Amino acid sequence: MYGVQKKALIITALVVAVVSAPFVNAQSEPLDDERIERIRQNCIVAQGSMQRILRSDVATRINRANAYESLLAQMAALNSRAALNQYSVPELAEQTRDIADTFILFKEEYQSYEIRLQAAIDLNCEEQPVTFYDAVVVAREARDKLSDRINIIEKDLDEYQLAIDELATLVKARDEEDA
Amino acid sequence: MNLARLRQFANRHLFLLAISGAVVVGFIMTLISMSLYFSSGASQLDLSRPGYEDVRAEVRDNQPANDFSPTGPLNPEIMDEFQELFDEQREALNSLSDYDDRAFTDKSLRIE
Repeated sequence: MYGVQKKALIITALVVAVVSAPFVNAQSEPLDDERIERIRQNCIVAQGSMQRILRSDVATRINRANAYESLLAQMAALNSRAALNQYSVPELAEQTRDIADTFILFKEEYQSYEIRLQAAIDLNCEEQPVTFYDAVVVAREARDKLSDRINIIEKDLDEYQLAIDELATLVKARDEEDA
Repeated sequence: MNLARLRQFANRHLFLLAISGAVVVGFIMTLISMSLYFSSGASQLDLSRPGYEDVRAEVRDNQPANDFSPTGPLNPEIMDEFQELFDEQREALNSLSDYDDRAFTDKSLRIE
C-alpha cells in the first residue's frame, strides 16, 4: 500500500514538472541584501541606460530587417536566374529558405524582447529591486536570442556563399565549353 | 407600433442619426486599426513616437545601387556582378550591431 502511494507521488511530481516546465521563468542568482541595496540605488540610472539601449536597438532592428529583405530579394533573383538557365544547385534555394525562416523568427523574437525590456524599464525598481533585476535578466536572455539568430543567419550566408561558388564553377565550365 | 414610432423618430432626426452613425463607424474602424497596429508589432518600430525623433536619423537606406534581375543569361561576368552585390549587402550587415551583450551587462548597468 505504501509502495503504491510512493509511486503515485513520484508520477504526480513528474507530471507537474513536465506540465509546469514551459511556465517557469528564468531566475537570476539569489541576491544578498548588499546587492539588493546597490540595485535599488542605481536602478533609475540603469533604466535610463536601458531606455537608450532600446532606442538604439530599434534602429538596428529596422536597419537589419531592411538589409535582410534586400539580400533575400537578390538571392531569390539569382536562384530564379540559375533555374531558368538550367543550373541545378539545390543548396541555393535551401539556404535562402533557411535564412527567410530565421529572419521571421528574428522579427518575432524582437517583439518579445522589446516587450520584456520595456517591462523592466517601466517597473518601480526602487520599490521592487529584486523583481527589477529578474526582469533585466529575462530581457537580457531575450536579447541574447536575437544575437543567436543573427549568428545563424551569418552561418547560412556563409553556406550560401559556398553554393554561389559552386554555381560560378558550373557557369564557368559551361562558358568554356560554349567558347 | 414601436417600429412606426422609431421610423418617425429616424425621419425627424435623419441628420443627427447620420452623424452619430459616422462617429460610431469611425470609432470601430479606429479600434480595429489600433489593435492591428499593436498586434503586428508595427508600434514597436514606429519612429514617429515621442522620444524617437533622433533614432530616425540612424535608419539607413539599405537598397543596393543596382538590382539583380531574376531573368537573363548567366555567365562569369554576371556571376561577378552578383558577387559584388552580395558582398556589398553583407558588408552593410556586418557594420550593424549584432545585439552583443557588452552594453547590457550588470557592470555596465551598475547593478553588479
